[in-house]
Amino acid sequence: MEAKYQLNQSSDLAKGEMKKVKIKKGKTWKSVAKNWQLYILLLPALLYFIIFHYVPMYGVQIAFKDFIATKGIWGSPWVGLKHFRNFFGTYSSRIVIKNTISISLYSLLAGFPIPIILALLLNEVKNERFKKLVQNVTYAPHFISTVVMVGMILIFLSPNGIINKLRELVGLEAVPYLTKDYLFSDIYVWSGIWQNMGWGSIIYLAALSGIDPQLHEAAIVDGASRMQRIFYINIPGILPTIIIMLILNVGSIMNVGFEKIYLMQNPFNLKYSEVISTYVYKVGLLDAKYSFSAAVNLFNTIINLALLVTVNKISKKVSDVYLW
Amino acid sequence: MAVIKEAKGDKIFNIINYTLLTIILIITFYPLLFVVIASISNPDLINSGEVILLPKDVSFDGYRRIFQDPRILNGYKNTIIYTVFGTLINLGVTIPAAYALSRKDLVGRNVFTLIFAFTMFFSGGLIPTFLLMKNLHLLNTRWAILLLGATNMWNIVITRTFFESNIPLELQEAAELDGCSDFKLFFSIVLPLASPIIAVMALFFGVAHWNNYFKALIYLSDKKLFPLQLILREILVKSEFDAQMLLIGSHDTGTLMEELRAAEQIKYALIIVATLPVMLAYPFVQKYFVKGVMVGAIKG
Amino acid sequence: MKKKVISFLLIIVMISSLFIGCGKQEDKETSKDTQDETEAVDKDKDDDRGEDEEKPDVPDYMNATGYPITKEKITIKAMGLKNPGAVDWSELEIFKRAEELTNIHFEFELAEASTYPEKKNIALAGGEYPDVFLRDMSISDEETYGKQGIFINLQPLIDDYAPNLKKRLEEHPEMESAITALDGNIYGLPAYIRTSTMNPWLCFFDTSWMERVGKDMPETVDDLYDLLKAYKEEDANGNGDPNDEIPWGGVGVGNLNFILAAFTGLAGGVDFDVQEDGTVVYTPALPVFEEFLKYTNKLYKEGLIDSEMFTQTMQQHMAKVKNGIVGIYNVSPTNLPPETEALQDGLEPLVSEFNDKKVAPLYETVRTGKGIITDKCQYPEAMMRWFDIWYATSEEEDGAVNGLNGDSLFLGFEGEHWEYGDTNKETYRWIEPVTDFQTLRDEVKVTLDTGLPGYLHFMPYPADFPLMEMKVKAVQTRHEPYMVQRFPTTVRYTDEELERVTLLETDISNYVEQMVVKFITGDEPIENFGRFVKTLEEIGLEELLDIKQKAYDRWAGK
Repeated sequence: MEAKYQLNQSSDLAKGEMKKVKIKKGKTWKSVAKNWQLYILLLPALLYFIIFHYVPMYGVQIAFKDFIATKGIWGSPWVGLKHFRNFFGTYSSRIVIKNTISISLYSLLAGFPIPIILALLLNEVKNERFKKLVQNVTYAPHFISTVVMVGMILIFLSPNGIINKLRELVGLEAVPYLTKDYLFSDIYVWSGIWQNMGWGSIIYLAALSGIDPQLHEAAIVDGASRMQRIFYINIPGILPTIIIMLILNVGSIMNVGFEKIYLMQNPFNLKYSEVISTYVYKVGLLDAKYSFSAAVNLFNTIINLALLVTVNKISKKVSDVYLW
Repeated sequence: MAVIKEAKGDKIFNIINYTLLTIILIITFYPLLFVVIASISNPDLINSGEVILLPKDVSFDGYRRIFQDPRILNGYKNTIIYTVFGTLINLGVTIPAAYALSRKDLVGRNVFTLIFAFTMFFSGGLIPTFLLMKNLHLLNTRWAILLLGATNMWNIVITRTFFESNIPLELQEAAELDGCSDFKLFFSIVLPLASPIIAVMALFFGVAHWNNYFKALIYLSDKKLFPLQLILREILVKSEFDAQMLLIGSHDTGTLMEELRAAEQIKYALIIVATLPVMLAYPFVQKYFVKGVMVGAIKG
Repeated sequence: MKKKVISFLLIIVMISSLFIGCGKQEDKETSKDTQDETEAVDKDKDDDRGEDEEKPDVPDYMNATGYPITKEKITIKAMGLKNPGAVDWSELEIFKRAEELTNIHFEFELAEASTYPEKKNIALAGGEYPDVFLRDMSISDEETYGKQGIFINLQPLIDDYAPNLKKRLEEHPEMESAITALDGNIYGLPAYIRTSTMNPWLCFFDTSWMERVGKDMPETVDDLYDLLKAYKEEDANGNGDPNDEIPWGGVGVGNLNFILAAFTGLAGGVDFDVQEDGTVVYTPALPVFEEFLKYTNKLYKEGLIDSEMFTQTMQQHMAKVKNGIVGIYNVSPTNLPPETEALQDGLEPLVSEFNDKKVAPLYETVRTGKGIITDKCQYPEAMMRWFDIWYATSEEEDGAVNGLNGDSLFLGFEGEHWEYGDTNKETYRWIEPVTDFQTLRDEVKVTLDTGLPGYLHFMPYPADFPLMEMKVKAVQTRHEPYMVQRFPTTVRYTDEELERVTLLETDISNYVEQMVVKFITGDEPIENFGRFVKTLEEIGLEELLDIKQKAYDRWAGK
C-alpha cells in the first residue's frame, strides 16, 4: 500500500529524468528556440541579479585591501591576507567560531523539525475555527521586535519573573536563569523556536495544501489510519520542500543573527554567547572597519558555500531534490 | 474489525493532537497577552514582576505619545506604498523566474541556478551598492526601496520546489500537445494552481517590506519618504536613550522620570501599532492554502 | 556537471569583466574629483600661509570681523548627530538667531545615535559627505579622513578667524593637545563642558539610614563592610521589615569602581589607568586587584550587594531605588521623587590597607571631534567665524553678540529663558514659559550631553530643586577634593597602533568582563586569579600596555 503512493511521486521524477536525457541528445538549440518564452520569464530576475548583485560584486576585494575612502575600492592598497591573519590571530577567534557553529547547529536541530511537526498537526485538525486560532496565534510572535523579545525574556526569567513564580507554586526553588552561562544557548534557541515556529510552518502548510486529495481518499478506502496517512502521504508529499529548506538552512549556518544575541549578552554568558557577528561588531565599534568585517564575512561565506555544496550533492544522490 | 480498531487509533490521535496544539496555543498566547498588558501598565510594576495576568495602574500614555508624533500617519502611508508595490514587483519577478527554473526542459537551467545562487553567498557590500544606487540616480527616491531586493534566490528556490512537486508534468505535456505556448501555460494554467505559493510569497515579501528600515536608513534622506519602521525605531531609541540619561544625572531630571515611565510602555505599544495591520492580513492569506487542492482534481 | 561548472564560471567572468570595466571608471572618476578638490584646497591653504605673517587674505565674500559674517546669504550643508526624538535643528532658536546675525544658513541632514554611524560612514566612503559635520566624529575618524584630505586642517583658520577659540586654547593647553592630530594639524573642534551638576562618582545614599543603624561615614573598606552589614541585618529604611534592604545596588561592574579605587588608588575603574609617575597600568592585572575581588566576593556572598547587579537593567535598579529599599544607590539622587525630604549624601572615597590615598576621577571636560569642515565646503573661513561665536564666554565683557555664546548653547538666552536665582549667581531659574530643559530642547537648543562645538563653564545650579542642591553639595565636599587624572580618552594612535589596539582591547576587555563578574559571584574560585592574569598576558596585554604607554607619553607631551 505504502509503495503505491510513493510510486506516484517518483514516477513523475522519473519522467523528468527521461526528458532531460532526451534533450541532451542533440536537440539543445531547438529546445532553446522552442522555450524562448521561458527565458523571457526568467529575464527580469536575471537582470535584477546582474545589476544589483553582480555589478557591485567588485566590492568583495575589499577583504584583501585596506579601504581608503578617497581612493575608492579599486584604488585602495592591497594587503593580501592581513585581515584574515588579524582575525585568526586573535585569542577570541576560535571561541567565537566554535560558539557560532554550536548555537547554529542547535538552532537547526531543534528549530528545523518543529515547524514541520506543527504544520502536520495543524493539517489534521478538522475544526476550522480552532485551526485558524492556533495558526494565527503561533504566527503572531514573529512580529515582536527583538528588543522587546529580549526584554520579555529577561523579565520572565528574572528571579521574580513568571517562570520562577510558577516554580514556587509547585514548590521548586527559584533559579537565577540569567546568570547560568550553560543555559544561554537553551534560552536563545527555544525562545527563537517559540517566536518563529508558526511563521516557519506557513511554507509547509502551503505545501500540504498542494497534495492530491485523491491520494488520501484512496488511502482511506484502503483503511489507512491517520498516522499512516501522515507518514505515507503527507510527509512524502512535502518532502521536497523539507529537503530544500534543509539545504538552504545548512547553507546559512554561519549567519547567526546579531541583534538578539547582542542584547541577550551579559558578563555571565559571554563565554558562550560571543559569536562571530557580535565579535566583529565589537571590534568594529571604534571605527568603520570595512575591510576587517568584509574578510570575516568572506570566511563565513566560504564555510556556508562549502556546506551547501556538500549537502546539495548528498541530497542529489539520495533524494533527487537539489538546488543545481 | 480492522476499521473499528483504526478509528479508535484516530480518536487517540485526535486527543493527543488537540492537547498538544492547545498547549502550544497557551504557551504562545501568554507572551502576546503580556505585550498588550505591558503596553498599558505601570512599567515599574512590570519590571518588578508584579504584573502577571491583568494590567495594573492602567494608562495609555505610551499610545498617546506614539500617536502624538505627526510623522506616524505619513509613515503608515509610505510603508503601505512600499509594501504593496514592492510586493507586486517581488511577485512579478520571482514567480515567473521560479517557474522557468522548475522546467526541467529549460536548457541552461543549472547554469542560471548557479548564477542566482551565487548571490546568496557573495555580495559586494554596502559601499559598492551605495555607489551603484547613486549612479543609477535612485538615491532618495522610492525606487531605491522598491527595486533593491526585487527578488532573492531563497524565495525563488522555495517557489521552484513548489512548482516541481505540485505542478504535474502531465499538465505541461498535455498543453504542449494542444500547441499551447509557454506563456499561456504559465499565465492561464500554472498561475491559478499556484495560489498557495503565491500567497506565501506575498506574505514573505510583504512582511519583509513592512519590517524593513535599513534600506530606508541608507538610501533615503528625505523624511517625507521614511517608512513607519524607521520612525518607530527613532521613538524606541529615544525611550532607551532617556533611560541612559538617568545615569548621567545632569540638570535635566524633572521631566525625565515621566519620560522614562512612558518609555517602557512605548516599547510594547510600538509592537501593537506596528504589527496589528500585518496580523490582520494573515487570515486573507490563509484562505489560499485550501484552494491548492484543485491540483489533484485537474490531474485526475 | 563539470561542463556546467565551467560554463557557469565563464559567464561569471564575462559578466564581471563587462561591469567591472565601468565600475572601475566610475571609481577613478570620483577619486580624481576628490583629489582635484584636495589639491585646490591645499593651494588655498598655501596662499593663506604665504601672507599669514601680516594679515589673512580675507576672501571677498565675507567680512573679517563684525557681522554679518558673509555679505550674501550662504547655505552650508551639515550632517549632525541629533538626539532621538529631538526636533529638526532648523527649527531651533539658536540656529535661527545665528543665521540672522551671520547670514549663514544651514541645510541639515540629521540622524540619531543608532543610525548616525552608518549614515556618516557611508557618506564618507561613498563620497556624498556634506560641508560640515556637527557633534560626532571619533578621533580615529579625524586621523583617517584628515590624512586623506577629506577633513581640512583648521589650524590656520583658527589663527586667522577664531580669536575666542584661540584664547580658550591658550587657557586650556590640555584642550589644544587633545584636539591636535598626530600630524600636528587640527581637524576637529572641541567642546569644553563644565557645570556644577557633574559627578565623578555616584554612590549616593539616604543619610537617615546611617542614623537608624548608628553608623558614621565609612573611612575604610572595612568600615564600609560594617555599614553594609548593618543595613542588611537591621531595619535600616525604617519600614518595619528588617529583611527588605539591599545594602548596595547598581548596574554592572562599573558601579564597583568606587570600591576598586580604595584598593588601587586609581580612579579609572576596571580599565587602563596611569599611575602618578606616568606609568600606564591595567588594573585587573595588578596584584591588588585580587584583594578587591576577595572583598567584593565577600560582599556578594553575604548578600550585601544586589544579587541582580550584573543582569538587571537601569530601569529595574531605578524601581528598587524608588521603592526605598536600596542603601547605597548608583543613580543621581535627582531622579528620586521630588517630594523626597531626607538628606541625600555621597560616600567619600575610601582607603584600605593596600592604599591610603583617596581618589575620584577628574571630570572629562574636553570632548573632541564636535565640528569638522570638509574639503567640499566653499566657505571654510566663514564657517570658522561661525564656530568661533560659541567659544565666547559670558565671563568676558563682550562675551556675547546678541546673546549668542557658549552659555546659550546650554541654557538658551539670559533674561529671556533663564535668570540668576540669587545675587551671588549661585543658582539660576527658568523664566516662563520655559519650565525645564525639555521646552528648551523643543524650541531653542541642542542637548548638551555630547555637545556642539563650544565652550561652557557654568557653575550655578537650578534654584528650588532641593535634591539637586543636595547632590551638588555632596559632590563638592565629598568627591572634588580628591580628583585625579585617569587614562585620558583623547589619546591618539597611529594607524598601525590603532589596528592592534582595536583587536587586543576587544579580546582583553571581553575576557575581563566575564571573569571579573564570575570572580565576584564566586562562579570562578579566586585561586584562579593567577591563571587569569596569565591568560591576559597570552592574549597580548604586554603589547597593548606598550602601545598605550607610547600613546600616553605623546599625549602628556613627553
